Amino acid sequence: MKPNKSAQIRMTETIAVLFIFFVLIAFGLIFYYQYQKVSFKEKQAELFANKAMDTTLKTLFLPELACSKGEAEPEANCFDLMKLRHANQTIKDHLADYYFDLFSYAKISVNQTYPHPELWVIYDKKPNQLNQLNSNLNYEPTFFVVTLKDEIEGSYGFGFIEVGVYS
Amino acid sequence: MKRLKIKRNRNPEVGNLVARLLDVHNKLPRGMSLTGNGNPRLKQPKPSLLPTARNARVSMKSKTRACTKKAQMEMIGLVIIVILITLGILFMAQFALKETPTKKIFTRKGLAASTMSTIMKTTIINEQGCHFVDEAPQLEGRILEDCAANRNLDDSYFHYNCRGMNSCDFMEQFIAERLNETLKVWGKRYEFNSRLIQGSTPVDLIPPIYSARGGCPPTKDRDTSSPYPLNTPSGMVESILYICD
Repeated sequence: MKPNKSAQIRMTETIAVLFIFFVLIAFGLIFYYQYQKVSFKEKQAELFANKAMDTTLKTLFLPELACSKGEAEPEANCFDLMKLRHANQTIKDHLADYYFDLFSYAKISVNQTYPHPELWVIYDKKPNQLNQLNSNLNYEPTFFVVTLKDEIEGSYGFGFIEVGVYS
Repeated sequence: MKRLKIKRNRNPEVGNLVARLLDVHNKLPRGMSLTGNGNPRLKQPKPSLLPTARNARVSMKSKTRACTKKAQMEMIGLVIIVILITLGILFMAQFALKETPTKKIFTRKGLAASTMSTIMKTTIINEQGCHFVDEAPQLEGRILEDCAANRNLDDSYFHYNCRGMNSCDFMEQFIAERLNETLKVWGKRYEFNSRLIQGSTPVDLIPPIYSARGGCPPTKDRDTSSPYPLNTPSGMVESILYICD
């Protein structure tokens, strides 16, 4: 009877140890799963932010908007108001064959705050299926302060560009 | 049955075992033995090679085998613990070595530089009180020069009197307005400093401009436009904009 009881105790002990071990493993797996879920979302957000940054850079150096004078170096962070007023039409005309490859699903607008408030939306392309369903779009805006050069008056206005990407 | 006697072994464990076996053997009924059924026809081992001694050896062997098995189990347990600790450390390292998002760095740094250059380039229009006879001045041009040259003098000595203020006060208000309609709206904290360097000690050209939420002290994670120097007849004016979250 004695050895039997001892074996039973040992069996119970082993089962308890295994149970605790598997509980710990389960906790670890749950924790790791949650972490991976958050990490994946963060990675997605980072990729999304990188896309926004790329689009912003492309826009800032877009020859269709930059302040240039002949062969001279274009002015940094400067948009030519004369070009800006016609950019919307130019972009619309060549949206499918050129600009969509450049900006994909995004919205680019230039906002002047000084001397007088004015807004130009030069590019806006939303993903179709989301547009139809009117569901929530994931929109990541990036802002940059820019000078708005008026070649006619020879003055510089103050404004900012908002480049947002949809996903 | 012959009663067995054996010399005491030097090893106390073996000795004890042998003694116990002997005891059991001696208590067995006639014709029975520890190794068999006690058939007298079966060849019995010589007294020198008693079954008790052999049993003791067998017991020792099995005991050693059990010890080895236990040691192996403990080794496996230790290996599992080491693996778990390594995994934990790797997991923690992943958190510790996480990089700051590139976008955040680029945006803030680029934003500070672009804001500074844009503010300085902006042309002041003929608004209330600003009556420019010739072309409208840029902030980094004649307004700043006027402020640097006459900052210690009476308002009547200033060339420009926009919004009923001298160039220094107007410049301070104008910069604060531009920062408020951009950086403040985007939820950024900022600090703008403009200093006149005459000789060795720089002096504040205009009082530092802080966001409503406070400035960006060096202790904070801040980005700078890098000093924006402008040469004026009164000395060099160095402006700097800090942006932080």
